[in-house]
Amino acid sequence: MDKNMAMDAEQAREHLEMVDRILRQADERPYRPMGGLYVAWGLGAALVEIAGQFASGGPPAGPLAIAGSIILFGSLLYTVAVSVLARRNASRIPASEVRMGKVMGAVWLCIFVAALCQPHMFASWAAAAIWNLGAAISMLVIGFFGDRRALFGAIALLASVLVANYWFVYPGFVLAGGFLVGYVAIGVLYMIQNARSAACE
Amino acid sequence: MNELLLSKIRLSVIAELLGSEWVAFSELQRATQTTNGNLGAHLAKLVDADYIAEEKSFVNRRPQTRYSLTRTGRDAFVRHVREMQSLLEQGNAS
Repeated sequence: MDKNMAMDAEQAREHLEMVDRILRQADERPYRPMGGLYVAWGLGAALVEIAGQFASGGPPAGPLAIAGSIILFGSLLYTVAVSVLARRNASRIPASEVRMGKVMGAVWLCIFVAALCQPHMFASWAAAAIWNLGAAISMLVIGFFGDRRALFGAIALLASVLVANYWFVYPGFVLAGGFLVGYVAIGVLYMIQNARSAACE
Repeated sequence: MNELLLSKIRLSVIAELLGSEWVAFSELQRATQTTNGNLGAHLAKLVDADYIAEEKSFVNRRPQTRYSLTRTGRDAFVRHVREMQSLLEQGNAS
């Protein structure tokens, strides 16, 4: 018997409704970023920018710069380790997160290359500002996928670049402020959300 | 009409995998709300048809089986949905 004849329009409607329901449920699963990564990266970057301010726009030096660099390097190792572990232990890898990860990778690869172009292409505070721009783009990507907190973080980071440029008194402190609000604070919010979700499960 | 995708459980599995790079067996079981044996039998049919790919690994010393949608499975799902849509349109027209 032809299967087309076996299924009527009503059954086809039920089938399509079920598919629609399943796909909608999959779309509604919340994105759970690892808040600790944002806190670590934000603190490291902020410390380096504050150190840069104390060095009056010259190359960051002193304990703050060293502490910031150590935190940034530690964050890099932590990011790699956590990403590998999370991927290994996850029971589901949503395709949207894979796409988001690829965009993030592209953004940060460009920023790292730009950071290597000192002092000629990105001299003085431009070298610090490009990190804020990279962080803003990565937050905007998450924001455009529907996360309002990330959108707020992106606005804070972009605002810090604008304010640092037009109120050129303490650009290092302003850029660091952008990272503290746009990355560290948002990371803390993610950590609280993840802790609450884990408690509910 | 694709007979393999007429089953609600198999269709649910394909729809679940559509939005993910891969999904573990336990997650598919939670999503389809069926028993181990029943889901296993449906998954085996989809693997045999090359609609989904199976990958076995160990996570924290415990075995884990993950499934991902193949290109063949994705194309079959899209074709199936289109056929159902046309069936629905035909039903509405008559």
